[in-house]
This record gives sequence, structure tokens and C-alpha cells, in this order.
Amino acid sequence: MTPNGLKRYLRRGLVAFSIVAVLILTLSALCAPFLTAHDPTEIALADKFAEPSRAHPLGCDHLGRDVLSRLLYGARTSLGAVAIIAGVILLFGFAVGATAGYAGGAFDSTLMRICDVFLTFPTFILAMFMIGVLGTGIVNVILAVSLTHWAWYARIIRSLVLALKNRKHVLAARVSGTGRFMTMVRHVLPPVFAQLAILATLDIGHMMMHVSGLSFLGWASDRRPRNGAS
Amino acid sequence: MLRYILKRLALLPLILLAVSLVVFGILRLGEGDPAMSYLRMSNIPPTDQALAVARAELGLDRPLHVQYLDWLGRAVRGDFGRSYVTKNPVLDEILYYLPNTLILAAASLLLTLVLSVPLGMVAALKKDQLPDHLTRGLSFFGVSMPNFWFGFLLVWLFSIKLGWLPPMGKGGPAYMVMPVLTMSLMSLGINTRLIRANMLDNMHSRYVLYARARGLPESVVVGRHVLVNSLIPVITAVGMHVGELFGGAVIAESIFAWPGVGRYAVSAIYNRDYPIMQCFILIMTTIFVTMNLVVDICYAWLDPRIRYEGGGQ
Repeated sequence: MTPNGLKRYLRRGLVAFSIVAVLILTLSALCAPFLTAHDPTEIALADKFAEPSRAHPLGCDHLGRDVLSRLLYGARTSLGAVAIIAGVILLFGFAVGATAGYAGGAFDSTLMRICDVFLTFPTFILAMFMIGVLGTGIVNVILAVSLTHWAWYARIIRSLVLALKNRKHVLAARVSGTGRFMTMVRHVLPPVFAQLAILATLDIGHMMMHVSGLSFLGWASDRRPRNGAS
Repeated sequence: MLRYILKRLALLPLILLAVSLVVFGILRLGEGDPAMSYLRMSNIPPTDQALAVARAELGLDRPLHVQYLDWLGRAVRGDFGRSYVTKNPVLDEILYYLPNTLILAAASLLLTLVLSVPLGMVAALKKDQLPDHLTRGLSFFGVSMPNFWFGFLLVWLFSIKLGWLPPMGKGGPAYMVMPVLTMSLMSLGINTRLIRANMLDNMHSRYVLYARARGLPESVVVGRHVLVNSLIPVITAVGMHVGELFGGAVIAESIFAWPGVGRYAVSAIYNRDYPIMQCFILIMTTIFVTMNLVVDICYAWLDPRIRYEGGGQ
């Protein structure tokens, strides 16, 4: 095999491998209740630190909880959270970026200055601060990570819209009487979305890192201080 | 050049003002009542009367803009209030812990640069050969590995199995090894990839062809032309890494019980100690913004195109 052929083969192999890996992970998270018989929160002190066995393929943790089911249900939470975050960011980014790019002028520069302010913060530190103020829990983690990342997307979407809005097919649509909004939806957003999908897939790993980092610090579980708690 | 620097410096206070507005806004968004946390931390029963007294004491009963201006005025003079828990001035406490975090961040940044430059270079020069595959594997690992998990694996290997390094605390240089490795892992991966891609880009450019045509030896072509030009974008990346490193520091300090400001902020969040949280985010953001300003100025100094294009108007 020529070096070039080998490279292409490797690349194709890697792509296929990655897709399969992601699919398996997603499916196993979705099918968690069917893949494991254990409740991830069920405590069985008799099984404390149990070795991997038939009943517990990956063993048990310090409270005798089944590690495999905890992993599967954990993936559910993380993947779900990241899916929601990506959705929120894309939606918000689209709303801000597309209107700013399309409207231009003072409206555009005001929105972009707001983005700039959000971009000046170190993201993880800002997310931490928001958790501190809003309280812990997965909903607030989702909110914090979304709020610290949307500005990046708004900026990118704006620049993509700017590049597209004076293209001939868009102008042709406007000239033939399509309204501003429909031109946007039909002719500007689809190509923007296609380019963005690639970026978002790359970035999802990064967002997941933030979510799991915040969970690691103990802020994703809903044990917020209540009245009566010390 | 001086004009450019002055312009950027003039913008700095405006940026920080906007940052303070956002911080204040988020604080007032929270559902938690600062007066309530204050009472809880002071072990006072939260009766209506006690709440009203605490609100008046903390100035929470005044209109929002008055609160903001008052808060800003004090913050500018370095008064961020007192911790609800220890009752000490917040700034003193943060400044006490801050150097420890900055040492970790500086060491991680240094390690990232010292390792990623040669790695990225070797990967680019030996493209599609074994060194390249190994380096790319390493940077892929660095980008994909959650830092907290990597930290635990390090503890397991070096402290438990091998017994070479102390698992936690602060002391001699040995105590820094694992936190620094944990923090630099991600930026190392990103930087190595960046340098490799830049080198490859530059190697196909015309000035390199010209340098080769002049008969310059390969070492001069790579060392003096390709490498230097490939490192310029890395300077910008360094500015971004600082932000990531601060986030990494919070996690590394929590794992290794390093007495830094990140770990202190984590405990403040558990205690809902608002003054500390505010001071923490403002100080970290100020350092981050200033770092990026320095980076931008270096960048403009190294690459004259920037002075005339982006920052010119």
C-alpha cells in the first residue's frame, strides 16, 4: 500500500471508529435501564468494594453501588446536559448572531459589545461564579455553561451571516419579493448551520469537560442548602 | 506602536467596568438572599427582624444603582467587604492565597511552552512518520482526558503504586509536579497541535521556497524562518490558555489540597460567601484581561500587520 493510501485508509478507519464509538456510548446511555439491573443509587454495604463479577461487571464502589450502572446513568446525565447546552447555545447564538449580522449598524455593535464582555471572562471561573450565586444542581450547571459559551457562537454566526447576506442567491431572493425573515430562514441559515454543526461537534467535548468538571466539584447534584440545613 | 498601546490601555478600564456590571448583575439574579446566607453563617436565627437588620447592614435595602455605585466605589479602593465566615477583609484573604495559584499557573504555562514547541516541531518535520503519530496521539489524549480524572490517575501511579511523590499539600518542588501536570495537560495538547499546523502551513509558503532557492541550509530555513513565524500565533493562544489554566487550577487545587485561591473559592461557594466569590471572579478576570492585553501588545510588536489592520482604527 502506498503511504498515501495507507493514510487515507487510516483516516477512514479512524472516522468510522469514532462514529461507532460515539453511537455505542449514546445508545448505551439511552438504553441504560435495559443494560443493567441495578439502580445506580442503590446502596448495598455488603457489596462494598466488590470485585467485578457476574452480577456487577465492573464491581462496586465504597457504598456498594454498582459501578457499571453508575457509569451508564452518569453518561445519560452528561450527554443529556451537553445536548441541552448545545441546543440552547445554538438557538441563542443564532438569535443574537443572525439578527446582529443581518441588521448591522448600532444594533449590531451594541450586541457585539455585549458579547465582548462575556468573552473577557475566563469561562470556567464565570461558570463557577454563576453556580455559586444560582445554587447547585444540574439545571444551574446547564445554565452556567450555556451562559458562558453563547457569546462565542453569536460572534461566529454573525460573521458567517455577514459573509452570506450579500451573496447573489440571497439578494435574488430579496429582489424576487421574499420577506427579510423568510430569506433569512430559507437562504442564509441553512449554510450557516452546516458550517456550525462541524464546529459544535468539536466543541461539545469541551462543554462536556466543563460540565464534568463542575460535577466533580460536587455542584451538579441537587443538594442545595435549604432552610434547616447547616 | 505607542499609539496602539495607549489605545489598548485606555480601553482597559471600560472593559473592567463592563465586567463589574455583569458580576453585579449575576449577583442580583441569584435566588439566594445574601442576607439569609449572612445570618446562617453568623448563626443568627433568620427572623424577619434579623433579616431586616442584616439587609440594612449589608446595604441590600437601597435602590440597585446606589448599591452598584457604592459597591464599585469600594471595590476600586480595594475594599471588597468582609467574609461572612471569617469576618476578615476579603481582599487580604484572596491575596494571601493568590500567589500559590499563580505559581502553579506560571509553572504550567512554562511546561506547556517548553514541551509543546519541540513536540510540535518534531511532529511537523516528521509528518506522517512515527514521531508525528506519537505526538498527535499525545495531544489527542491531552485534549480528551478530563483533568480531574488525570489528576487521580497520577496520584494512583506516583503516590500509591510508586510512592515517588507526595499526594497532597504544599511543600518542596515535588509537591508541584502532579498539580502542574494535571493543569498543563489540556493546553499542552492544544498547543502542540497548533504549532504543528502552523509549521506545516509555513513550510509550504513562498518565502520558504525562496529561502531554499537561495541555498540556505535546512536548519536555517526551519530554525530562523519557519519556526519563528509559527510561534507568533502561539502567543495569542497563551493568552487563552491562562483562562483555561485558572479553571484547571480550581480542579487541581481541589484534588491535591493545594492552598490556592481556587480551592478557597470552592469552599466560599459551599458557604455561599458572596463577598469572596465577587472578589475572586473580579481578580481572576482582571488578571486574565491584563494578560491578554500584554499578549496583544507583544503580538502587535512582533507582527506589524496587526498594528495597522485590527487595532489601527
